[in-house]
Amino acid sequence: MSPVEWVFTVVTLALTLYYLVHHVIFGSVIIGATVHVAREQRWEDENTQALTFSNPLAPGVSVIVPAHNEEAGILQSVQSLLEARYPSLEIIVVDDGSSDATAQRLIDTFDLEERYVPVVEDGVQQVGRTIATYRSRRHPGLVLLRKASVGRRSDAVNAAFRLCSKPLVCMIDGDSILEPDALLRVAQPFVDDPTVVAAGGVVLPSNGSTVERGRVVDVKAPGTMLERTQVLEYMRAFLVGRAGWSAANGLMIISGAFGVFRRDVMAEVGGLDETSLAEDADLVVATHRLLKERRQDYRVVFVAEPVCWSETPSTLAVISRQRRRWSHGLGELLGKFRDMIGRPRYGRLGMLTMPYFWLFELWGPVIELVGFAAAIVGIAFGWIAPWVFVVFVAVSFLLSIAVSLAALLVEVVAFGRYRRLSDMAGLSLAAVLEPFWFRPLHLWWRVRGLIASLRGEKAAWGVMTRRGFSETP
Amino acid sequence: MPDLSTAGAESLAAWLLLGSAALVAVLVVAVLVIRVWRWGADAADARRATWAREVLFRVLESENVRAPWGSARRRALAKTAARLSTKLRGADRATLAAWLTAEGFRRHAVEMMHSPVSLTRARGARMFVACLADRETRPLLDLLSDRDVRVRSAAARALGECGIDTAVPFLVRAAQSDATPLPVSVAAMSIVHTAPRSARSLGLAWQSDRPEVTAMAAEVAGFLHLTDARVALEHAVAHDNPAVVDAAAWSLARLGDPRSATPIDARLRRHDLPPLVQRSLHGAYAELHHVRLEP
Repeated sequence: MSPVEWVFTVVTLALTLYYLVHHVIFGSVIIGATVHVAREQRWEDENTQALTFSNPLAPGVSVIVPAHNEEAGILQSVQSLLEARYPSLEIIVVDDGSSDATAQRLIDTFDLEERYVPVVEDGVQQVGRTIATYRSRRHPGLVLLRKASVGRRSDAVNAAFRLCSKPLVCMIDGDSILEPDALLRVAQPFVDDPTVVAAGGVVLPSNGSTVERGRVVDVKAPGTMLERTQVLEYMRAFLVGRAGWSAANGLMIISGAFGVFRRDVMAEVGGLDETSLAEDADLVVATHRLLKERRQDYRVVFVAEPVCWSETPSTLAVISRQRRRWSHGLGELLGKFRDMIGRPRYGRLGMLTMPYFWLFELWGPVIELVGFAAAIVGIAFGWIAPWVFVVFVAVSFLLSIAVSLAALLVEVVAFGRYRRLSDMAGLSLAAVLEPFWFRPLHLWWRVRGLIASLRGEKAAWGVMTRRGFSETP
Repeated sequence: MPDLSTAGAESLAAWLLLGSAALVAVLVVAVLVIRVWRWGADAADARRATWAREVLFRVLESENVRAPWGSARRRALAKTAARLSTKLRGADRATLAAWLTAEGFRRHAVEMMHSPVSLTRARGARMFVACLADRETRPLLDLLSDRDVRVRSAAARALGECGIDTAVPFLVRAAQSDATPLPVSVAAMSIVHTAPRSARSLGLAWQSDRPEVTAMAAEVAGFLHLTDARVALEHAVAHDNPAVVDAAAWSLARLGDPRSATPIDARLRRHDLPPLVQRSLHGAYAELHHVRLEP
């Protein structure tokens, strides 16, 4: 065997091992997720939530809605919060330097008047200056904060956090719609277990669904393949990924589009890192770090039932920027907390979740490209038979389709939100087609994001073209 | 490279390929079949729930109705009864409980509460409340020290639903327990539901070595406007823990006795509280002097 062939053999075997380990870990995550969701569903009890709702001592929630040029969907989003079933609620909308009519629409619709709103948490820093604060005459719990933008969502969240007066803080996006019971369900773990410090719910694309007075009344899969593929991605990420990591007590990410944190803990970590692109995950990891180092008993949980509907990109241009930013953010995050990776002191997060994200999520696309290049070289030099490569790719595609279908199955069995058979057929078809067109594109966007994080580039709010929600006539 | 052109390697590859393809095919079929099956199952559930409501309303109108023996229909009856009982009061609730007891649901609930499966014990507790027409809450009190925290919480909520204030000292004791603690917020909510008329039932919570339990007692006393808690609350204002001070100040403001301004003033002069609690104390002080504190 020549030295080149020897190197090739070692690389090929390492890559095979890599894929094997990845599939074993992800298979365990799927099993964990299924068990977790099934158990949570069995414990589901509407009486419990009714008792919490009717109880004045339920912990109050401050909902932060950062908005930057969100005039298309901000009214429905705020309306859904005003109609949320929760006994003690405060809504703080931040207009972060919007150039559109976001603030004016809110002022006109909810009868907001300029009023001083006191700062409660001055330990958290805000960079962009506050322009004005408003309070609604009709809804005393609704506050609008207008501030100068510094180009980052995290600064908008921190500015609102400084005004939060309730013990729980919930973050959602300006284009998101909460289901009426969503807050009640996501806050329930805090009531049931005093060690819970953070909880995340499910985010699903609202594209294609019909909204009426800030409520999704007809859940429907979107029409385009790009949007359907994102529905599958979200199901995979939440119903399989988050649920599985939560079951292993190693949840690293709670989506900034729908997450609840204990205010005192969030204040202690200093709020969101204003410089981070993955500010939501940054907050979760910083929380883990703080409490692990203090040897405090705590839990970060994922609740699979409550849903926040959010508009997802409908064009390739927008989604490419979004995914590049996500990958860039992940690279930044893992770089910032690299001293936690592989350290038993940080429990499963340090020993399992973070190494997994570093090896398979961050560097996965690069390793996939290396594998592809190695296979081409191997075939060209006759070191491996072409059929081996074909079988490898086919099995890899089939397994990735199976993962998407498993997520879809969890949704159908446990929740059944998408009721039409045509939606199920459409989503199944999207799952089958995804590896052939979306996966290569996604791989390329992730590689670009990784390069951006390695180069230490700075990034800002993503530009997202909103279509708003489809309202019934 | 290892030689992969052997028959064994080729057949392994074929099996891998076939296995993956079969998995995908099975999942696609499962998604579609389960979707269709759920339509049928949901419709059957809805039909059973409608039937169960009809039966239970006939029971409330004192008609002579017997519960069926079929397990699916009995389950539907039990579930609907548990839900309905939370909305009933007085004679209606007693009628429903008596009927459920006569039809064997209470006995079954007690059996469920002794199940080795946590979820069954919790469901038993919920069912038991619907069957409760007397003050015999012993089986629920026993579950307050269950090994599973979710069962303990279910039992506490069930006790809250019963509205029997003699359960309050048990709830406080469960919240203070070191071995099998009841979440303090669950205890608080349950106590509020039982609506005790005196702060005496909160008993040891005032001297608890767990500040969250004392804070809970303070909050509950204020919310329920238990005027006999004033002295204990005034002591709580001097507590070392800011959460206790905050809850006590809020409650004293709710009670509205001007005499409470003195201990609040004394605590404010110590200047040892976080800004948020300090503000809360100022608010309570102002409230006791009928002054609205503007920020």
